[in-house]
Amino acid sequence: MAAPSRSISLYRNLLKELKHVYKDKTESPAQIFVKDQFRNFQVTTEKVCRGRNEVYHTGETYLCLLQNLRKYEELHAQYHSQERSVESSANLVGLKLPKTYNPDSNPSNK
Amino acid sequence: MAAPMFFTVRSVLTVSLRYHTQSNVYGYHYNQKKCMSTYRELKKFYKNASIVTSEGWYEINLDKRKLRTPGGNLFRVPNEALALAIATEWNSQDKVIKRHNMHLTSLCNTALDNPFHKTRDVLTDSIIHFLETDTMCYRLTEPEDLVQFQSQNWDPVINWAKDRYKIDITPTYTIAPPDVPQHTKDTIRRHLLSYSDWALFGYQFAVDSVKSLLIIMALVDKFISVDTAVHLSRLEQEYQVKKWGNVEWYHDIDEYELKTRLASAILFIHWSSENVSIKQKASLAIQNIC
Repeated sequence: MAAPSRSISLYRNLLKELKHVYKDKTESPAQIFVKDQFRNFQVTTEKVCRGRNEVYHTGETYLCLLQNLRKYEELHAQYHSQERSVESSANLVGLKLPKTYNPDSNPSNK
Repeated sequence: MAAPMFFTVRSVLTVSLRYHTQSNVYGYHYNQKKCMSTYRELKKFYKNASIVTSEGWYEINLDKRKLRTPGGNLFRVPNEALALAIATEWNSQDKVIKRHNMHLTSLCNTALDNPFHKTRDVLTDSIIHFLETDTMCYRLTEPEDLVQFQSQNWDPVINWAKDRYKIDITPTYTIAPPDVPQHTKDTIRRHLLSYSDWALFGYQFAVDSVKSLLIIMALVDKFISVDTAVHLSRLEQEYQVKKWGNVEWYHDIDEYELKTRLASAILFIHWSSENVSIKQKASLAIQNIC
């Protein structure tokens, strides 16, 4: 097993990410499964012919999936949710639009 | 009957777009966006996704209805952890179902339906094909610091692969493809064929995402983590970002998406091959008793 402190933080982070999905107070099967897995492999992860870091690696990969999916969706919602106007696209790269031509304010029209 | 037909056509289109346009990042995003705006959104039509077991497989229930694949097959997976992760994918949807982000579900759909009728040989061939143009084997000769950055990061993984699988592969510094001897291809083919069909679909998706077979082999063997794998596949981009600055809505989104894809593929490979080994042992035990 990886160092205990590493697996504790993995455990906490996994449950934290699952909490984003399952907001209810009652535990979902997925959360119970994660808890059971950690309890199962508390003493050693080399049960049932498993490699030394196998369980830890899987947990880490799943955490990576959950975290990055959440971050991706946050950014996606921020930038790609609707089509930007010309003005806000220009602002994005630090530019301003020139003043648009308005016939009423033109003195020669009067 | 009109509704399932529509979903079938739609998902096949999405899959084919993914297959044909992934090599070109701009094209991929463009097509994906076009896809999303052209097709009607799918509203969330269930409250809760749960799993049930049946005949040694795990199925997904959306409220009381069974989930089916776009091809109309019953959606079932061989492993409990995989089923739970898929149920979590469905449960994490809010109002609109974003199927382009449900990589585990799409991988299972591909494995169950096999929309392009791929055989094991075709799959392994297409995976090995990436070895000839492996990202890690194309090196630059200038600028000096990028050359160093590449060899610092890539050499350990290449050396690991040489040592672990007893293969020969030499990086190239020109436009000519790297030299891959026949015995290397044979060794890797034998190794790949030891995986189940499901795992091979995952392998192909993973290799296709990072454009490198060696990185994926190191990742599946737990030599590196997903974060490192994605870092290795984006070395040049990271070098440019360091030099010219990071653009959140392009570079970060790209990185997060790649990590999501890769993590899904690796979990899929792991969970779908884990069950196979347990099953084989169980069936052997039964034979002995008989």
